[in-house]
Amino acid sequence: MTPIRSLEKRGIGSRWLSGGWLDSLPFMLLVGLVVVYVAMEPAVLDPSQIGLQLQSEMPLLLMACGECFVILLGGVDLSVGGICSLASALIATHSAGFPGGPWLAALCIIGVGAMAGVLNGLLVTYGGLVPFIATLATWSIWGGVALVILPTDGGTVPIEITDAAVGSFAGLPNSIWFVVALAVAWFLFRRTPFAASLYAVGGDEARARLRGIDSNPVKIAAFAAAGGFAAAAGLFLSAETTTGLPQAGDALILTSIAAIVIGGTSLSGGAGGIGLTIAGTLILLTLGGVVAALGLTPTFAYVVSSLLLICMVAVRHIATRLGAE
Amino acid sequence: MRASSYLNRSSLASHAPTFAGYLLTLILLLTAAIFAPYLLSGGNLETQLTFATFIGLAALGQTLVILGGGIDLSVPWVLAFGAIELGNFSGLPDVLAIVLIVALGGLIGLANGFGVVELGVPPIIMTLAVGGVVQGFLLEFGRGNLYSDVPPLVHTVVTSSVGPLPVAAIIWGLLAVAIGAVLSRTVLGRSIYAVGTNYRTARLSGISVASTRTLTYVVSGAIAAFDGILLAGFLGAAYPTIGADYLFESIAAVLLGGAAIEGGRGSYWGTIAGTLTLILLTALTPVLGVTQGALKVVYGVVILAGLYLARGGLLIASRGRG
Repeated sequence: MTPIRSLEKRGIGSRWLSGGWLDSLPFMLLVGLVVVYVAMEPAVLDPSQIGLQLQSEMPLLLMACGECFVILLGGVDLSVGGICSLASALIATHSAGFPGGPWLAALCIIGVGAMAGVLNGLLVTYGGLVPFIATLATWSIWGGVALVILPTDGGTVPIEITDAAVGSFAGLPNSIWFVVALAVAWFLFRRTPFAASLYAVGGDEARARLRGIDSNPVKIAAFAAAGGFAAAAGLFLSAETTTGLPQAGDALILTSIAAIVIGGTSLSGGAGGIGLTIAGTLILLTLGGVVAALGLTPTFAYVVSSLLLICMVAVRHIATRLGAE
Repeated sequence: MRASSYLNRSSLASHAPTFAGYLLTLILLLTAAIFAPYLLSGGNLETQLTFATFIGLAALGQTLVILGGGIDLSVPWVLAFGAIELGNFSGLPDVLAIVLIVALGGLIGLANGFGVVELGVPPIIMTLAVGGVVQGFLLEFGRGNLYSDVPPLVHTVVTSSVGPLPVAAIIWGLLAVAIGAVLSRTVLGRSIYAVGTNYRTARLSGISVASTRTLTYVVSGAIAAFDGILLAGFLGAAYPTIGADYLFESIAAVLLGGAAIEGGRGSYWGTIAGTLTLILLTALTPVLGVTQGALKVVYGVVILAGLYLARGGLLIASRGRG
């Protein structure tokens, strides 16, 4: 609301202070980083190189896309780490000889992830728990189940699933197609009534209720999406490493939230989306590439991306405050 | 606490979640006494108390931050910082080195507080990012993956006992009494609760919201670094992931102690109950023959059970009032 009011007061000039450019900041940053990266390492423009880089980032991207649904509601889901680990453990132990083949197994595992998400949603809506707490508990539960199923890294992943993750289609690596598919799916989803409800409940739950939107099913569905995507992230992780990793999901939880926030989605809900989240993930990816091209270690990329995370949020806050004054 | 305040029903209502936390601890203690009495005897008890200290101290800072309406995700990395840097200051007298490291931990906490209060970065994001910077710093400028240059004196002190009590647990006890007194009896304590309950109201009633919130992060950073020193002293070694378990455990201890994650409700006495609950669960795991994975499942279920137990206690107490 603030930007509009200040626009009326000060005219077009204050748009620069009140947020118009902030929405495009992640994309400008991404373009800038890509230009720098390509200038330093022209070889990365090769499609197979792009494919490899995207492939390594795919588990993070999938997890961030799911987490984004919950963050759009102003919540947070920590259990995605446990669900991702669980999916990885399941595909490595239960897909061999699964009636209906490996693809049905993968589909069932995504279903398991979605059901775990539904449980989160029930705890938050009808159970009356804060998302952070409910999902802290279920993170531990699903992470534990993953370790019970597969105590250490191991197991085998069906070759079909690995092929789908690392293969190529129409001359381009599959990982490029996955990113395109995610973007298109989000573009279409954004036009559904459910997406409108999601943004309405995330923006102002009380007002959404007044407009006749029942917020509980929306919340449960958002958590289900987070769980399903987290399971897909676990499947992808197992597919590209061809093994089960029952603890791998934990490292992705906070990084996925960082990717979402760097992309420009607000933690307080109602603003942002998966388009921005894809941008945020790609920013992290190219930032890592630039740091490596400078001859610095990957841990240095971690420092830079942490500082970037603070900057992106602080710049927004300060610009909004200046715009409001 | 005066006796009359326990008779006062509204006070009973506000303490109900803490009582629920101790009820859970008591149940586990009885389970241990029946199924594995040796866990509560001599050397075993000392070890359990020492490990409880490490969780209890990490959760001390976390309690303050959560009471003030925030969260501190940088705890595991500040803890690792304290543990690892101990060897880097070996040129200095041990006490001076410890004071310096604790001060640096406080400085990291100050960075958290500055970001949350002045830059308007949500606590989850700010403390996550600061933790990431500390992690990167430790790995980038570290000297490897295992640091065994813990000063011998620190190792000797932390692993020794006075009577049946380990020195670490005595330090924990003293800090617990101090923090308990600060929270329940001082203006600062009341300010922290007020800021966590509603910072606008707190500001209107003349409390310096910015400095109160910042202070909770500073204390959390300092205590986490000190906790790292004790842990490295106890193990005789440090490594970058030494604090990894303490993120989940510090938050879980606060929640099991009946504190509200939104801030303003809870106490360090509750967190102590939460800490003991976590330690008893871990100690009982091998006895009950369950694996590491099953323990994590039990942790999660117990957190959920504890939350509803606390809520039930709150309901019963408030019904009694009506």
